[in-house]
Amino acid sequence: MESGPLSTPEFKEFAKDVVLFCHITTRIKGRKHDDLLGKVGGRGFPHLVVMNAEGDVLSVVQRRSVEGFRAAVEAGEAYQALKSKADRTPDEELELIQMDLDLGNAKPAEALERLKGLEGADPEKVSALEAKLEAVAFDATIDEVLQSAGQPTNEAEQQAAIKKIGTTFWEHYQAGKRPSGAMQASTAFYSLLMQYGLNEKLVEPARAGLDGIVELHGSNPQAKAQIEKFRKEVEALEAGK
Amino acid sequence: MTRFATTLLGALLLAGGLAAPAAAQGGDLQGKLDKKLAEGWIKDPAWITDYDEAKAKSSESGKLIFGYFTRSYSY
Repeated sequence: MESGPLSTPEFKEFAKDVVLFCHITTRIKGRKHDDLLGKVGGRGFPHLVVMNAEGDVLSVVQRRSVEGFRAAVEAGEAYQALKSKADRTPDEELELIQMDLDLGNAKPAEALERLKGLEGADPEKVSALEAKLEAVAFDATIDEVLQSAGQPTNEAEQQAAIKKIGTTFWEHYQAGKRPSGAMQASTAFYSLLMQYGLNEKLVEPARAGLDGIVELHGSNPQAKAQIEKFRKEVEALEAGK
Repeated sequence: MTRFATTLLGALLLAGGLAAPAAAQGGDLQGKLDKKLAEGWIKDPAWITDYDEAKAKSSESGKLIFGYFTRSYSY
């Protein structure tokens, strides 16, 4: 980033239209705002966002190019305009709920409340958002199930925990529950489902877990070797080896 | 997420380098920050590195903040 898009003549032009703010996480104890990355929804580096003067996140940069930065600023301006508009149509209100949720500016429970009070919006879009909210709520359930496993201190306890968690996750999976796609909850869900299937010689959860992992991480070249290893284990189970 | 879950995920996935968070490598954290702040890209164009100052500048100018989040501790 720093020797690439952020050092180009195009970026210098772009910089004239915004306030450039560089936040550096230092891990220096007591340093003011050192934990800001997490507060703006960042999970890794680099993270690029557009914010207003209050520090609210208006958009997240999706493409790491000056063109992508401009698109993010435009998306931020559109979000801000929609948020400050007094007479929003039901579809605009729905769009705003979705954006608030995506940006972390509304919690799922609050979004659901706003959705309940909304009349006249496109029913298909409402259903899609309800499904998304349900998935986000399921992410919280995943975390609760993991927390309930406590802290196994040896191999036997760990295996017992995988069995307990895996059994619960498999029940949820069969009931049609799926995580939202958020990386941490989704990875935990599918990894444990797969490991449970492998440990207990159950083909279906092992396959479901592997497919979920591939969907989440299949495009990551760094994951290729690990996914291949998992694939061989699941295929061996399927082949009855 | 519990340590157990994190450990388990580490064993299952992160060993493959999927998303392992970079660990602090110790050493002089202030020195690492100073080194980062001395780099050329941060001076031209000039980045504000103080959050409160950036918000004040945004308020005063009416421009949105373009926030770039990076780190110095893994230098």
